[in-house]
Amino acid sequence: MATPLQIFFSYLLVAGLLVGISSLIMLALARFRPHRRLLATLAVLGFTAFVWSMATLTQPGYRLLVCYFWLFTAAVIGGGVGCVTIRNVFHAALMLILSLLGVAGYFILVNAEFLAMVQVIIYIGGIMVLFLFGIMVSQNIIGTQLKQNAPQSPWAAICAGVLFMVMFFTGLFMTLKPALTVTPDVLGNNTGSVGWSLMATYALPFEVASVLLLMAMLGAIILVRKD
Amino acid sequence: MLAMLLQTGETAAEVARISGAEAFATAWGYMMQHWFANAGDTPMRFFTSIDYHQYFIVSCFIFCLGFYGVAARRNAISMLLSLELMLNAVNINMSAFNWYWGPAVTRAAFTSEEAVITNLGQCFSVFTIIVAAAEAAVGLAIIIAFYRMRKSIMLDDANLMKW
Repeated sequence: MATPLQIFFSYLLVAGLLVGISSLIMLALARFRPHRRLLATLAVLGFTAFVWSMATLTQPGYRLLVCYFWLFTAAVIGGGVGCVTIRNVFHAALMLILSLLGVAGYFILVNAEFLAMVQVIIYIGGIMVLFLFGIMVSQNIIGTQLKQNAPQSPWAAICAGVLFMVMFFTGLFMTLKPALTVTPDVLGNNTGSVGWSLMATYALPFEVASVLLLMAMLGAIILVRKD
Repeated sequence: MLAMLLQTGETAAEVARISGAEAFATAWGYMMQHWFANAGDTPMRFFTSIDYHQYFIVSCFIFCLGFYGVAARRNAISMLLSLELMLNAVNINMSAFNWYWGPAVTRAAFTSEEAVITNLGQCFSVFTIIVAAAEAAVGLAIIIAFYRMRKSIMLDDANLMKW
């Protein structure tokens, strides 16, 4: 059981994360008027606080887990919406980084610590920095006030909405057989087990993936080479 | 689901008298009834507990956001960013389902031991991240090559093979 001090500090940590997320949302809504921006941020904060209090009141067993889940959900969905709506491509990439951080939190919640570390180190530290460098190299050709959405964006929104409704109801009514209850001591060393699987069971796909990375590197170099 | 929708009226005449709004309300009522019976006792339980439903729905939303971004944006780099969003939705799903069914699937398929945990989903997520890295490198290289050729990274200008 967590002591009151631990609970207090975890509340403090979550409050800090909420402040960070809300400031990023305010940055995302920067093109709206200030009072609208404040209202939207307050709405997001209020929703999260409502969910937080509900989870705290009704599920004492794993309330912190549930609260962290919704906190990461706020980061993932806020970052994703920002990534597809912000005009400035650099800010869109920063929003995508926020979303990827939330996904790393999901990985920790589902006992995939190795994937969380890979997400932070390789995805954010490697791929997203590559994207940011690509954006900064071509910053003068992108421009910040450029119109980003094509004329077909309403149709794209309708198609995405229909797709989401189909998948949403599928997920809502998905009733599959219950899982085994796993105690944490059975889980053991996640990094070790993933490494063992990659090196023993899935050794051939692993080698093929390394060849794919080599081919991608060579292809990128050849594509951008000046003749 | 279809059977439930068809049960709204006893006869064809009764079905014909139902307006569109009434039919929608009835179908919604049946859906909610089904959800209460199978997915939780109150709607709040969706927010106060975690199983595969929450991860699935959040990853659906992220996937559809990525789809919208790929379909609606005209900047090539923005499209690549939206593609990363879609790949991450897949990663969430695979690791979450591995978390929920890894033990059960392994016991059913491969062995008779009680608590053997597979990490197939996590390994597949690692491969997805590898492919995402390759895609990012090649995609940015293609964008830079395209910019050298056409002096633009807007995909409206990539119309050589349009007709």
